[in-house]
Amino acid sequence: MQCLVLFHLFAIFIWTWPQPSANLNREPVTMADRAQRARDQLLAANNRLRYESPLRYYLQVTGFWQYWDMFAPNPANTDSWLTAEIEYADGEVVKAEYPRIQHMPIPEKYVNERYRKFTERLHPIDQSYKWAQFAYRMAYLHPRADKAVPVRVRLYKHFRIYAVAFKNEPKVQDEQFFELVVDPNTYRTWGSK
Amino acid sequence: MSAKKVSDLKKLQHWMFGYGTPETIAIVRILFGTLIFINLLMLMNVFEAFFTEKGFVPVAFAERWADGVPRLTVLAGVTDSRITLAVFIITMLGCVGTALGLFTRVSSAIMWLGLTSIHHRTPDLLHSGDTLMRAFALYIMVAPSGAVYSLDWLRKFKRTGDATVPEVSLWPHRLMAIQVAIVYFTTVWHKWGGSTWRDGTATWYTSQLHEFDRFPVPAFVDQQPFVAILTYGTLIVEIMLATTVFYKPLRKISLLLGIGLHLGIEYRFNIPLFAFLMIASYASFYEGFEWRAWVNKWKAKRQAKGQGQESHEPAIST
Repeated sequence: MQCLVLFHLFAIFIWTWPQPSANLNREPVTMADRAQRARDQLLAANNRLRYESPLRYYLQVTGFWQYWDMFAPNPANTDSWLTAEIEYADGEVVKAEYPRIQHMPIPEKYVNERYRKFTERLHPIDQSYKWAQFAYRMAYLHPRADKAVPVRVRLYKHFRIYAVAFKNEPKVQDEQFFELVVDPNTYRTWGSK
Repeated sequence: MSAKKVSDLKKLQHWMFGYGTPETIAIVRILFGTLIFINLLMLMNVFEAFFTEKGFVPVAFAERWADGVPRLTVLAGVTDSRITLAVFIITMLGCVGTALGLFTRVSSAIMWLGLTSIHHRTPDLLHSGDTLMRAFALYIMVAPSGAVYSLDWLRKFKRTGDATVPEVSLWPHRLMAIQVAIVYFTTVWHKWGGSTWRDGTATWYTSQLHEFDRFPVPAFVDQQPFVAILTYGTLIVEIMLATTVFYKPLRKISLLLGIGLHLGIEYRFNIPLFAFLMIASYASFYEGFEWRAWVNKWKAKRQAKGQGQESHEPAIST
């Protein structure tokens, strides 16, 4: 039992280590560079141990995996929210907002925070496989009174990037990141899923 | 190896794997059983949005996230939302049973398995508080967490008249405390790799994210030198919660600073339950006999107030 407990502690501890910096192979010039390189090599070795050994299965299969990188290495500097444009065959375009925490009263904020969390894991390009589902859901949540089937759904990200501390509030930027051509059958059967 | 080193190692081994009273584990069980229940209740509010096929996250996304590694979940491949809902409800019953200490081992196993399944069903929603819940659910399950302050304990007392609380192996209790220390140690390590934590501006950035806003704060809080005080203060408090918290003379101040830090975050930022989960985990830094002494003191005060009233509660003894 003692060995198992110590193994568990070892496993969860090394799983929580940070990632090496991106410039791992840079030639060191100063002493600080050398220290950084030594640290990065240690972290790279740790990556091999945690991701390429059977240890990975012990942690990932069981749900013992864990990360503690809250507000790290730097806090996010981008405030962002999502909207959709739902276009119909007759040319009408309906704008729909994905639940936005800033616009909610406090009790609602408390129980709806997961919507905000999900936006963090939706927008990066490697998450693009989620976008069609997101677009269908947005269209499903905002039907037209005549029950017409939309032809397209466009997804937008709106964001403010706070690049430098203590500067004035930056302008909002808008970016269309996906356009869905709606399959009428998929749309019509969405509610019965 | 010198005799002193051997002696220190033995002390450490005794601390980690020795025996003691189970009050700490019971208190953690009550707190986490309750908080996990509340958390699941809040998740029910977004059930259709994130746990059904017509929501934003169908079950196929979880399989993609798993990256070929099988995950422990009773919801693998489940597309029928009625089954998912049943798992939610059973897990919540497990939480109630855990908090009350009713059939504690079975209840806590249901809580852990259900929570892990729900997390593996929709990992896109998880934050650090969820990870802490999952870790503590495991420790509560493997610990003798129903040995005291539980309905199981009361049932045993009513059946046998025996209010004895057995000494238990303390390694699950120590795992909880070390787990919390790992949380704080590694978060500081991660943060130290970031330029804004080093230059003392990190908390300014968080204050600008209006999607996190909860209650307002005075303007000076987001100006220097207060931003630097908060930034470096956060790092200092977090490193104390990984180190000095194990040193008894500094334990109380470390925990009070930690509570202050989390209540500050709770007031200002919309990160539901996180502060309460972290503060609940601090219970693991106290020994079982310390909790027992406080409870006995509280009982004595209560009895002094209500003199003449007969008590039906079992008196704890080992």
